[in-house]
Amino acid sequence: MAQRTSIEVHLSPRELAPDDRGLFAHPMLYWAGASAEPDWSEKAVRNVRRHLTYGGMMLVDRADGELGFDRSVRQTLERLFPRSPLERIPEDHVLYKSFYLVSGQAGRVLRAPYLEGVKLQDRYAVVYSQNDLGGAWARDAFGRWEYEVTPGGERQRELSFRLGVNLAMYAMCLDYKDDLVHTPFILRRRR
Amino acid sequence: MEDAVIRWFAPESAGPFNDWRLIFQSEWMGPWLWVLAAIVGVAWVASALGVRRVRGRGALLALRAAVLVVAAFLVLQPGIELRAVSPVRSQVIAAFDGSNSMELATRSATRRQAVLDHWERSSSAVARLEQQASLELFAFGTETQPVDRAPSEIAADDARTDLGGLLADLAWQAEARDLGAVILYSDGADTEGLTAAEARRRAEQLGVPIHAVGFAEDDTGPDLAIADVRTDEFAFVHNTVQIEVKIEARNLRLASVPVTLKRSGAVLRSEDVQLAGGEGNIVFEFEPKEVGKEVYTISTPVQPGEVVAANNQRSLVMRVIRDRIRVLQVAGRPSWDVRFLRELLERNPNVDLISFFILRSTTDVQKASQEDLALIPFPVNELFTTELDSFDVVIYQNFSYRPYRMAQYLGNIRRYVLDGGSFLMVGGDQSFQPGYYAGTPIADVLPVRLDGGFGGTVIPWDDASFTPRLTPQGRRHPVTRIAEPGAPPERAYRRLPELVGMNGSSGLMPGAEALLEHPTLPGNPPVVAIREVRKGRSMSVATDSTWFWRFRAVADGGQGREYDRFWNQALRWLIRDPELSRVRVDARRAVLPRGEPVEADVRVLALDYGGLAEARVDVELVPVAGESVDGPVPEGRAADRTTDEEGRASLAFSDVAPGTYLLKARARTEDGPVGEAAEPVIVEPTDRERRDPFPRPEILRALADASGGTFRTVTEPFDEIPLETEQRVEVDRSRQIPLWDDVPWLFLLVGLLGAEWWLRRRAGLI
Repeated sequence: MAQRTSIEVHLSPRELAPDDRGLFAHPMLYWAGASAEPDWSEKAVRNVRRHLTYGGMMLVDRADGELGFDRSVRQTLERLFPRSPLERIPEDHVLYKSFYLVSGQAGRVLRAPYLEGVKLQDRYAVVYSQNDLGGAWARDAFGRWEYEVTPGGERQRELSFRLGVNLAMYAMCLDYKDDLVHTPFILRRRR
Repeated sequence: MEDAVIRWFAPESAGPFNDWRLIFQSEWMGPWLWVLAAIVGVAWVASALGVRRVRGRGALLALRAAVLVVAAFLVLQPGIELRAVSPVRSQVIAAFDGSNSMELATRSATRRQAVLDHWERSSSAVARLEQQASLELFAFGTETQPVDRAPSEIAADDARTDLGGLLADLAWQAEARDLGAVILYSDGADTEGLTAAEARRRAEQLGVPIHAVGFAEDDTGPDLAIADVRTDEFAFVHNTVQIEVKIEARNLRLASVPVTLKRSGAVLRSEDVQLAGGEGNIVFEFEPKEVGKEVYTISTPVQPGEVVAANNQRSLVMRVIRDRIRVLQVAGRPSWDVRFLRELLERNPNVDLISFFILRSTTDVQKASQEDLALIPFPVNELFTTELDSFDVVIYQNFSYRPYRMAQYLGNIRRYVLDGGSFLMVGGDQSFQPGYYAGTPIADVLPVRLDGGFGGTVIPWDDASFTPRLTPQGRRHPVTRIAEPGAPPERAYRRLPELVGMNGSSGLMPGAEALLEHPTLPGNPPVVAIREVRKGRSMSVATDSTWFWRFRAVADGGQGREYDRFWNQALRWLIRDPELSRVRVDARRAVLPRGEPVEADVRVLALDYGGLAEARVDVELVPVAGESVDGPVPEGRAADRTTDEEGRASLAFSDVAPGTYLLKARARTEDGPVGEAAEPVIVEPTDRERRDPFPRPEILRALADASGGTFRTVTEPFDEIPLETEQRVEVDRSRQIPLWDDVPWLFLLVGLLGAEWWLRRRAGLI
């Protein structure tokens, strides 16, 4: 992101528990998992709910092929926002054009041809990918790709980066690319 | 016959009586009980028809009818009233127009003189009329008043003509007395908006013939007038507004006349208007540039010999408001500071937000073709030349102009601010000095001083955290008053998360005020500063971390309201929202005719925006430079008041000379000044009478036609004044003589009832 956009990036990510008040120093959260997780405490649910309600955004990324993490995610989101269920994000949503013009899904694998999200008022406060975006982005200590990307190979990896950039742009710019001034340019390039 | 009746009932004292009438003295029952009693009585009589024996039935019917008549006689208590009466003469009112338009010239003399000549030439008809009716003279203008002097002594100096008021007074007279006719002398130039249709309706209601004497429409001296000006009371800034002007020329041979529209004394448009049939119309279209109240004046040159020169000019005050607040937000890169400010602006339904975020840096590495990017060119030229003036507020948020070769447009921003625009610079590592703004035209209009410039010392971006400190000005200023009402202003800042990152500066520019300052950096540089720069406003927020007040504050149980309050108030201050002023002055009428008082209401608000009691208010009526004022401004054009419990005060200036004024109000308390406000007021050079002084015979004709009267011009004297009236009498004396209170009537009733009973018994009905 630092290489491709003008966004300033803290290159050392910080790991925080969901009940940590330090979450509020970081408006964008990333929650990835490969297996079922213990239920969040009530304090954690309140903390994250407050974070997301007041402007935060959380990208949830399913890394494994098992359903354990998926179940944990759905149960947790149900507790977080019982009145705002997960829904499929439409393909023409602004996050597919917030920086790159992206069509279709990407990630280390392609388990779901869609992103899901929890909408609070007019924005998606939670975006859930089942395709392991983090797996496509990950490098080892020597800078090599950590995982193979299937079935699309390096093209799919590139698309995973683009989708990741778009998600960060969406968190920071919201529906900026839906402003009328952008529409004619974007329509021309979509053709 | 009358004499015989009077002598019969008053043989000894018939002398004074010359009239009699039958009366009923009963006060027993109301009309519905009378009807009920009559029905019962008739039914009782009619029941005799059901008797089987034919011979007895006729007698019974007769007896019962006789009982009914005698009973009715006793109950109704009839009598005779003898009266001494004398006939009453009808009243005729001659109403003379006493407004000052009657002093205007006709082709031969003044209108007033023409009326007097007509009255003189109609003297025979008037004399005959006075034999049948009593004639009373009235003068009317603003009010209607009886006069006990000759028409030649009725002055024509009233500033209004209220024909509707005259008709109301005539209606009152018609109810009180036998009003047989009205003679009306007027030019018909009503100043209170009476139409011919309304005149017709009111005359029909009056029901008394009006014989109107007026003037032909063209019976006037030469005159050119701005006859009508129509526009909306308010307009939207930067949106086209229209002012429709109607020109009327009487007895002038003009094919066209120039008409000029001025805004605050400066010529805005000037065009020739073609006249056809003495009338011409023009529509001025323009875009108001500033929010507030603007004075517009429409004028056309005075022609030689004009009857009224003052009606060649009309002024109006137009209230210019925003349809929506147009905000341009230019951000050097996406950031949380940018995002939360955008979110706040987008939430505001009154804001029309245009955002431009620089999403790529000049050094980024792109692995995608241009076609795969959703990026658009930064329309620098369009934004900062043609469209710039359409924005109410321009925000540079951590944005440096340098990479985009925008140096040539910085002068436009300066001009935009000097001409009334609002500019806000929000901090960051690409803003203020790090953004290379020192020495640029933008630095001239910022509230903070950016010393250094090219080759100078650059004050670095400071990454340390701090809690900003309120300055004395900041404690009072609405922008930084983010605490709940009643709470100490500083407490809100102490409770908020610390800010991180600060753009230094070398202090304040002249006229600027710091509202928040850094507590520890040398010289306590301003964190938030404001400045009024000629007609515009600028503001600096020397940090890119105010979003902490919105988001980090939530971790400590807050809801981010302080952030919302700060930025919403900042926006309102930047756009000069009148609601943010603690002193407000409102002229009850922004444009008023000469001779009428300038009335104003002042409201003074406390820091919590509740009414401020016991504040001293000084109000001045100051002539606006460049606008024409007839003669010197009279003495005593200033006044002072003390506000009541709701913070209100009212006052009026009378005898104000024509011209354009600013009504200025300054309020202060023992603690110091509260604020000031100003509002334009126009006193027109003409009163209502002279604004549209042309004769309006159609009004008089409508009055005459609808009332059954006549209309004529002053050239046609009365031969005869018709009088329609019913003869009324006045009762000087009366005497009532009862017919019913003799004992034999009672015996007769008892006898008849006894006979009726006997007859029924004999017939076997009992």
